[in-house]
Amino acid sequence: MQLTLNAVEVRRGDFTLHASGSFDPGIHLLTGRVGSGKSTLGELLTGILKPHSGLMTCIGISSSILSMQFPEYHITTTTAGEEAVSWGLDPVQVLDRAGLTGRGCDDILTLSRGELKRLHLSCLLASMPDLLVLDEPYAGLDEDARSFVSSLLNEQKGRIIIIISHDITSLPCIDHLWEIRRGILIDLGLVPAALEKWDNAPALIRYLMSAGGLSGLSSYELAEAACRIQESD
Amino acid sequence: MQDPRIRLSGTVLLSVSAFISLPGAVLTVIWWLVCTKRTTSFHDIRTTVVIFMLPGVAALATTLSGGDGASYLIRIGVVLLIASWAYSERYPGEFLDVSVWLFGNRTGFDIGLIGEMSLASAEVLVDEIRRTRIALLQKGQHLSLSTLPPVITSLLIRQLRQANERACILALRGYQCGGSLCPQFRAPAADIIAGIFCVLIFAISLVT
Repeated sequence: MQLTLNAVEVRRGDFTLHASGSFDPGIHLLTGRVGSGKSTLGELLTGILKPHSGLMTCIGISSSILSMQFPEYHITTTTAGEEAVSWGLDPVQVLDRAGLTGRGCDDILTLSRGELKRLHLSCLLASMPDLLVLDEPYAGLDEDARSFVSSLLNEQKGRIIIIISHDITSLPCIDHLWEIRRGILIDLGLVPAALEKWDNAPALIRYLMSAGGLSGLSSYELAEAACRIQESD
Repeated sequence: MQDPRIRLSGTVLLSVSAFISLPGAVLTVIWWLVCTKRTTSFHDIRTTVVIFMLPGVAALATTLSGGDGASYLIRIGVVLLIASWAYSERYPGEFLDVSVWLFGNRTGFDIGLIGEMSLASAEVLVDEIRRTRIALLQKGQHLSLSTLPPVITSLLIRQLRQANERACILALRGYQCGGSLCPQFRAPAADIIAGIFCVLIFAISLVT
């Protein structure tokens, strides 16, 4: 299974995004400044946008889903149970997985953001897409909900999962790092080697790399690096 | 066109001119060809087709019932063209600027604020509809009679929540009525000449 971009260009108004690279199964983190074109790339990868030029090749990918920033954007029904059915899924199983057992008849708009996100992600992962792009999956979530999202993502094997996020404190185990710089997609490579090439790494990451020997981007690895700093002090 | 006062006045005059007479509509198209950046008037082909669909159906019904459907379609088409141009040329805050310039910092500010918030809501709604289309597409569905009620309910509730958030922000900032704004405008010669032609077209359409 592989998604390859070969000199792909996509335009939105005055902005042009240039992208080349291959996405293999695993968890990818796509980073970049606000407005750098990350969401545009997400839409391109999931086939919502078509490239203006270049070639996008999907090998062994039969289904793809883009999870938009807020789960409310995905609501097309009125109850939690109906929402699971709208994805063609068994509502009982989905609600159990989301920790919403017995709440299938609840008005979906009365669920909290965290509950809605859990329901949405349970639907996505039960749909078993080969390619899943998650745009800011941690936005507006509390600590428990963030852990739930990361644990769900860590369970996924054999799929291409691309996370677009600014929040670097709750991530699952990231395999591959990408960055968009001035409209160009840069393949930074596999983590942890890629961390050295991360130009716009957040201050926390830079600090943990220099002082704690950061080995990855998961919350566990961040905590581990912080503990090393504490021990050395 | 840089001066929103001339643009908004021109839009009103040309819309009335195009609607009340066919020569007015033709002159308005000529004005649009000469005085505007034509390429910015259309957002995309699909939206243009959807916008023209309703007057197209009305024109067809008028023709079938013995009326002049072609004239109606041309006149309404030109009104929509001018509206599309005016919308694409606008910048955030211009309605507030013009309103304050016209009616002052109390009534003008309130009218302008309402106008700006309405336009902002319309823009949010366009984004929301786009996202809803994406959501339905991901589920292998399309907008239909069965999907429409929950989708509209969801959109409506989100709009109401946003309106509530805006109201809270205004209240937190101490807004009660009116405000303080000193709008500044640039009126280049080209804008003034285009504005004069708008008045002339309006006058011609009144006598033809």
